[in-house]
Amino acid sequence: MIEIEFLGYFADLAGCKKATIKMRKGKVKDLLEFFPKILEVPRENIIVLVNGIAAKLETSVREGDKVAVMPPIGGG
Amino acid sequence: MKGWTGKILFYDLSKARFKVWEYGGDFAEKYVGGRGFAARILWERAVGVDPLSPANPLVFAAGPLTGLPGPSTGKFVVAAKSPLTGGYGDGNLGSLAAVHLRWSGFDALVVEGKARKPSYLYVENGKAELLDAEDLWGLDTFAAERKLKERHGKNSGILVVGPAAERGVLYSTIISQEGRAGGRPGIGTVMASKNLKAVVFKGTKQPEIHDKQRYSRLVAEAYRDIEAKPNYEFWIRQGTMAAIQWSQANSVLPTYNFSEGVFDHADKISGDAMEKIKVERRGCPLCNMQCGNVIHDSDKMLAELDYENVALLGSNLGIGDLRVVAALNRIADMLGLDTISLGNTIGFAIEAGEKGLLKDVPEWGDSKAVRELIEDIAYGRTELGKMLARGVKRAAKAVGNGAEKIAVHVKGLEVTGYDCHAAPAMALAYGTSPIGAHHKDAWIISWEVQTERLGYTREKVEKLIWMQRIRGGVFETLVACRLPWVELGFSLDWYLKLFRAATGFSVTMDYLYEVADRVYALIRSYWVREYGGWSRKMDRPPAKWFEQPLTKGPYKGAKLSWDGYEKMLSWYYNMRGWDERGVPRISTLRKLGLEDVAEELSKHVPLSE
Repeated sequence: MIEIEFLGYFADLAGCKKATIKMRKGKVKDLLEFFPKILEVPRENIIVLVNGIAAKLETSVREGDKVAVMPPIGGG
Repeated sequence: MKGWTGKILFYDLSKARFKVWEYGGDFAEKYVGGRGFAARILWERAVGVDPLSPANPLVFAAGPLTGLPGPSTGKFVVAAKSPLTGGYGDGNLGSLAAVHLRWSGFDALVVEGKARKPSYLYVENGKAELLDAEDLWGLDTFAAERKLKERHGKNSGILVVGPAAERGVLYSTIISQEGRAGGRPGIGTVMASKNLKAVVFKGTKQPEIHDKQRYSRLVAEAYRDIEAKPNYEFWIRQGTMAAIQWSQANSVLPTYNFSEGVFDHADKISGDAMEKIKVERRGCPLCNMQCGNVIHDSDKMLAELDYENVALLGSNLGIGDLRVVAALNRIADMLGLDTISLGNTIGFAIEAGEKGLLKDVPEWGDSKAVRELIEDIAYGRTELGKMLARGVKRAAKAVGNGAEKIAVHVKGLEVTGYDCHAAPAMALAYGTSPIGAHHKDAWIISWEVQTERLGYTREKVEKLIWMQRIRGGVFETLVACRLPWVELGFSLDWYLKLFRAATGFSVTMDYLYEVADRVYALIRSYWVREYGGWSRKMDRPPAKWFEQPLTKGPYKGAKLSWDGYEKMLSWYYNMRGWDERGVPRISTLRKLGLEDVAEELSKHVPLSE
């Protein structure tokens, strides 16, 4: 199982804040195929963390990993 | 001249007299407005002054878009020589006061001298008079503004200072509309030092617009464009509070006086937690994406929350209760204290207590003791309160025994809501901000986490300067709020179109970028002149991020490298045309049309060619 969390308005696009996906290994973008509206967002506007560490859509993930996906924000 | 009113009001409090400067198109073209006007006025009039003396001019400067209908244009810049840093200080404040300053026929107000007794200034349609404020002195900012509203009407633009400023707390701000605050580097303190409790603006005439029809059409389209953005609805729900969860995920949420980037109770103070108890929204005039989230605080009063005050008065102090944080924030606003510097300075005191450097200070998470301490600071009730009222840099010096190592500031201005142990470019943004540590000029971290996060690269420096040009230049001179652009992706082209339609200037973004570079070089020259020299040490971020690694979270063990930072700082100076000390070169000043600045500055420090 791989846990995926959506932050900010990405939770609205994904339709959930968190999801668990049954996948042994793959890439972050493979997980996002379940959430097509996220993939419609331009790539430069998708921030990915794997286990809290900065990652990319192409980063490999495996069972037990925690993935967070979020938009950039302006920070006030 | 269209777009601008072409007039700046100078009020001398000592003589209770005003004069109006009708400035020419050259001044407008060169400095545009807001921060540009303020920097030039301070360069000329705040030469070697004691910041709390009558001679320090207090500037309220709007830009050509301020007060015209348009996306989030109800803002202006408040500026003075800072009593906290000793250098250039400003803040961006959203208020009806910004609108009414322009509608009363002025682009800026410069207040000089000192009133003989507590007073307030009333500006209406081209005129100004000094009125008695004996009954307002001592009142908190909310109570003072309510009284002034009763007197001058609820739609007047009102700026007030609170008890903290009256007692000389060095990070007092100017407050408006019970929650809008501006002037972190003690601009409120400067105002109170002049015996000036408030300024009330009332105007009825919108400045003339070059192409009114086109301008109106653009504005209608622009507002619609903002509302059609995919994240608009989410923004309306959470505003900047979404950044709590974002910063926690990215290990940059200031926690325990910037010792950590993650907070165990972040979920309790997050945007999601806030959304469940939110009762209304507040914000600045002319804005269609107001960011003030209002909840009932722990005193059952309505109180406003945004990311910065929750980060600094919440996680940074170990307080994980949103209603309590809201009460602390409301109290700070009523007293007229900058919530960021306040949370930072109290965090320092708590850590100093933990290390045995200070006695009788609160512990992490002890909100009751923190609340008492806030009042002690504002009213100078205890020795600790008096010491912390002078800001973290001075407090650390007074404490001694290595306390400087846990003081989180740049140039004396306390760091805002982002921990930089694992964010080198954000650390450089703080190091090179023109007012001391503030994120407003370049919030680069969102971009940095998508690149080589822990790297010290040339690309990061290029991006930082680009951001400073836009955030610290374009938005601070026009003046408009940067949030539609940074938060919703509203295109910068809109601002150029609005500027052209308002003023008739046929220019490109390159013109606005050049103005930004000019203003940056001028502000840096101001610091160098007032300090009588410069060293790159002045542009260094807090030692803590380099010497005390994170002990928790995914980036456990991370800290910054001095070598890496210095490398980026040299690139930064080089790209800006400043020398290795961080002083603008003569050739750079000449290129930017600041020959007179070069000549004056060379009398104070040797300049590089």
